[in-house]
Amino acid sequence: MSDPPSTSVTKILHEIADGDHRSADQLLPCVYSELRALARALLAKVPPGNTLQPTALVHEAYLRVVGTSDPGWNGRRHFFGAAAQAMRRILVEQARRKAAIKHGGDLRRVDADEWDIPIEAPVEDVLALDQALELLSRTDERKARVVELRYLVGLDIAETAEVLGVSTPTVERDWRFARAFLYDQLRLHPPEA
Amino acid sequence: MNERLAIAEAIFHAVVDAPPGERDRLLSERCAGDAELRAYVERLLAHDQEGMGEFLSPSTRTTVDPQIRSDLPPPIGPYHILDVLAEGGMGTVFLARQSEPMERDVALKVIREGMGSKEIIARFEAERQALALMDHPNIAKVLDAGQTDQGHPYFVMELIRGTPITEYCDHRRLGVRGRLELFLQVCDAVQHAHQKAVIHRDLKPLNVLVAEADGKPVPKVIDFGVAKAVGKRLTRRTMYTGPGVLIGTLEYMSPEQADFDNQDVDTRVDVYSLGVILYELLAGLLPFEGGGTMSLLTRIRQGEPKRPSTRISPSDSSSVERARVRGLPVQGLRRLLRGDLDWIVMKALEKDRGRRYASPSDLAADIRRHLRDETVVARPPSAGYRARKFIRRHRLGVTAATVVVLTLLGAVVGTSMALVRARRAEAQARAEQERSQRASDFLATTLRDIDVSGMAYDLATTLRGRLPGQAALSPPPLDARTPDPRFAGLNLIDEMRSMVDQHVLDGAVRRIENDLHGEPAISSDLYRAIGEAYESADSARIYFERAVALSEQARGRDAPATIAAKMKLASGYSELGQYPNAVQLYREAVDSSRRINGEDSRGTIQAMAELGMVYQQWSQAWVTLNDPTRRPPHTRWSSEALSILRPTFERSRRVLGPDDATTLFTANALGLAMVNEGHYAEAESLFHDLIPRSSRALGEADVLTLMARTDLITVPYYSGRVDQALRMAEDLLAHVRKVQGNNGEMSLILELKLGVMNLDEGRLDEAEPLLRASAKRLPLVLGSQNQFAREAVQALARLERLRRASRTR
Repeated sequence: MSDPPSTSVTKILHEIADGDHRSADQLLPCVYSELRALARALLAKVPPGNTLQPTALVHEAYLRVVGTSDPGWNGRRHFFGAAAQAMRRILVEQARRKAAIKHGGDLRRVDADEWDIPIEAPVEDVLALDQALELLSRTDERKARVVELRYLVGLDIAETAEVLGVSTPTVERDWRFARAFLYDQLRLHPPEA
Repeated sequence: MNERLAIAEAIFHAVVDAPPGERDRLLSERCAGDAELRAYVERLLAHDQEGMGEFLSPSTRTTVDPQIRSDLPPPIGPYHILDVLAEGGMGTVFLARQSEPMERDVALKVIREGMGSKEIIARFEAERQALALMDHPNIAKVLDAGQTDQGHPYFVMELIRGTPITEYCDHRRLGVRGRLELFLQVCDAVQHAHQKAVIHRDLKPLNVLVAEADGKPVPKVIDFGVAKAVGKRLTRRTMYTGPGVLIGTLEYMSPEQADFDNQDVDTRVDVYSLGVILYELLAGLLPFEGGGTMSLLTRIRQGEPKRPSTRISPSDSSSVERARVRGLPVQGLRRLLRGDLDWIVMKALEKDRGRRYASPSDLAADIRRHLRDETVVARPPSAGYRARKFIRRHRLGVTAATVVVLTLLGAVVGTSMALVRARRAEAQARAEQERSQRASDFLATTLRDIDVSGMAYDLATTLRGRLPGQAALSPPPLDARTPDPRFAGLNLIDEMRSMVDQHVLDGAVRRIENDLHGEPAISSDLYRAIGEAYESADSARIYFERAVALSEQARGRDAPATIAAKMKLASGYSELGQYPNAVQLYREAVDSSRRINGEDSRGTIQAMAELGMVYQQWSQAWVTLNDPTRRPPHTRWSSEALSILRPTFERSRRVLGPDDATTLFTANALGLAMVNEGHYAEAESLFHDLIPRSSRALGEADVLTLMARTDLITVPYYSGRVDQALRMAEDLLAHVRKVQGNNGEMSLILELKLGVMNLDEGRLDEAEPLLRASAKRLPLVLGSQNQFAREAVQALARLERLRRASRTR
């Protein structure tokens, strides 16, 4: 049996905690595969028809990665930062795949088994939200991060501020505006219309 | 687009919280005729104001469903984890597959608690040989032990796919005879283990599993060797390592195991636990159950269980059901249990292990006698025995010297925060005066050992682990003193302190008042201990006063206990600033000690030193209050202090030696008195001799050493070399932080003192950060009622007053 993916994430987090910032680049892909691996590992245990909440999955992954060893403040920050982006990617890929099936697309392009992970799709249209976030991040990258952390990881304002290394009022302002902006985008340009 | 969005955002924020009337004006002003921009911003504002419902509201961050949650860990050593078999108080039991040296499925138990896994494994290794000798069809073998990558110890056992014996019997509706036959096999298994010198220590239905082989039930005892290795002994420490039920199932534990700090455990603990299992198999109930952990332990140690047959009553529907699963009508079951089986169970459950069956095989033999209708050994106690027992039970009620003191041992998270431990000290009447003295000494020690900040620390740690919220993100808990927003402003030390005062000390006082009439000596000792346990000097004084009065009455004015109580009361008065009272009491203590111990005794020297010290404090308090700039800060009390301390120091050095703690204490007090009297050079050389001595004798980080180094600073400070004093204080603070950490008591006190010195010198900018830090942290570390904590808060207030005054000027 190969190393569980969590080992490498744990290692990177500890390197980051020790001040090795080169490791940060490797974190996103590792967290990404960790989340998918975890979702797939859990698949067998999920009763048919049930799904995993993205937020719960991220926190489960965190517990699994961290175990009993605390990766330090910096490590936690990086983990959640990476996990938020990874989760967004996973959800987008999942939504694309579903859309492809719905429109009779080429199934072989994505290996069904590979992608069949039971993550609960958020209430909002993932692809539309993704586009709107993309738009937002062109003006202000940080606002997109705030939304990912709040919406997809379920962090509160203070935690989000900690991850992003900014003050809580900043996150509050970002969040308030981003939410109104995205609401407007999604209501104004409904995906199917 | 991007730029316009940024502009829109700026306007959005500028307008969003403006009062409705302002809004229009602001929008016109900011959008400056750009109608499209204005329309867009107004739309965003409308979204914000009218609410977007659940839009993007983060889904609640629950963990994955517990069933799904326990994703299986990676292989542990050579064992691949296949499934979870059980989750229990101690840890998780996995189904695992071993590939080397042979392929087989095993049960792998990972112990959750963090306590030294090395130690656990070492203890297991020590018993390994004995365990290997066990070979019995009804014992599941323990195969291996080790440590997971996370450092948790684990045990590997023969895999038993069975049900706990009680469940099995009820499920199969086994009758009384069937149950007894199964139970006999369990006794035989435990007997076998005892013969190989292995005690189980944790027998309970969960550890006695019944599997079926060829249609026949086969009980298997699991976990031999685990309880001992894990060291699941009940100690005061383990009682507050965590909340809730801390040590698994208590109901099957023998009285000697339920006794704190008792290490004397032999094979008869297993006999007792077998008795509880038998009780449950027969009556369907436990001898003692329910209530809090503490009350349960007390009942196990002291309660008389009801006979099994009396737990079966025709008028009670639960009895009917319990009889039904035994294939009997209620009356039938009761009749069957009454007599032999009652006696057998009760003999196995004797509090005094000398009265129990000596071994599992004796228990089994008696059951076999019953099954053969022979007279059982556990026949009813003789009339004489019963009478003795009656007297023993009721003497407690009439013995004056019975006291129950509650001691707080731990805390439970949630609504009920306090776990109260009841400890009954049984002190016999006059004939056993000595014994009751020992009991009260024990209680006094227990009270004195109450470690409020330790408990607050444990509570903080527990809460941090339990509370939802920022656990994942907040910085790791440095210690209990780190403020945590989730504690909602609670100062845990204060909370613990008031809990101890209310639940423990006040209760203890009531018991002494009610139950210890006519026992002035014991009452006095307990009051003294209670006084020491109270944080507030004011409350403490009340009990020290009682201790002194009662001790004088019971033992006389010159008795050592009376002197000790007086010294305590005196130091209480001194802390409250009631110096004349303190002086008077120390003088009495000195006189008494002279009479019984002589001039050259440690007792007399110590009392003299404290008398001198109190004069010294009296002097300082007066100067601070009335004439803070007086240099040297001499008063008639400081000269009194000097005249007492000088000869006392000489005497102490001669009688007790120069490195004795009392001598060092006296030297420190003398040094201070010298400074107050303006003998700076003399004081300086005294401190320079004292500090290295104290470091050697007591240690660098000892309070006395650190006090001496602090007091040395008064030399330059009072003699006008303020800059030097400040520098020394800064250096010392750095040093103390190094030895004690930033939150160490002395670090914080020094920080405060340095802050105050700066404040006194008008150096407000230097004083401010120091005072802010100490006003914030001292209450968290020492409780807000502590004198230093109060001083810090007052000093900060003084600083703020000065700041305001300088601003208005």
